[in-house]
Amino acid sequence: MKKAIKGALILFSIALFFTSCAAVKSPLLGSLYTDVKAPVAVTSNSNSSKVGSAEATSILGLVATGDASIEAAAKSAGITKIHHVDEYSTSILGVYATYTVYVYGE
Amino acid sequence: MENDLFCSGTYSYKSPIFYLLTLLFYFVSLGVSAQNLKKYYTSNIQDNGVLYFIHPDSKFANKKLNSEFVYDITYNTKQSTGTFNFSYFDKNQYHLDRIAFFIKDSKYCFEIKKIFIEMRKSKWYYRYSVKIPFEQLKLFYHQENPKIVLYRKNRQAIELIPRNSWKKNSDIVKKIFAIISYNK
Repeated sequence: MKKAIKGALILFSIALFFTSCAAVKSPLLGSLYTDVKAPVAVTSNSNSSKVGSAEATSILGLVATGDASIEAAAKSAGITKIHHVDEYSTSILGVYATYTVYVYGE
Repeated sequence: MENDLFCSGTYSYKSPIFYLLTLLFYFVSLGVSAQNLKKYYTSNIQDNGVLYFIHPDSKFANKKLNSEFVYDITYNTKQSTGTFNFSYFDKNQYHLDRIAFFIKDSKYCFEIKKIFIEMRKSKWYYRYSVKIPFEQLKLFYHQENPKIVLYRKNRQAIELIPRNSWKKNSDIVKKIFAIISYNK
């Protein structure tokens, strides 16, 4: 009986450990290290002279804060016509993760 | 002797802990490496030149006011000026109208253009933009003790100095500026 409880506790701890990892949105995900830039959207507007960014962060998958919306990134540079949007994801050992959106436009 | 060195104690080279620590050190060093410049900027080819964006940085602050200053730089290689967008977070309300960069013994003052002013939690969130000649931006990063001052109606309002590690940060930006210059 004691062994079963101990085993269940170990399994629970392992499950808790993995669920608390800081996951980040990315087309490719490395469980140890992620450093990936990828496209989000493209429009028919031509050229861009302004760039805006917005970031959200996660610690241990327990606390995640920030506004990484396209709206926030465009607003930060005063962009009214969006040319294209990229995303940049980083994660170190699932402990600390960042997700950044870059908006290019005019 | 070699065996003693590697096999003594807890961290034997055969131990999984040794490999785990090595792996951990490798990935942590990847994360903090200053040589991976691509983490600090993006470049985008346009019809008229290449558009560079140096990612936001929060190296400057005013400790007395407990305020924050976050800025980013956008530069097109076909233009002579770069766009310096900055956010300023402060509990006080201001009507900012100018920014000054102190480079050696000279002061370079520029009018700023408001993007928006909002409240974020308990602080005012000011977002402004200013056009600065690229050559002056380069000079600013070659300084050991840089200073930025924000003005309100021509009166000095807020003095901002680097928090720490300015040298490391300026070395990175200087390398990015060198890349930009080579690709002009």
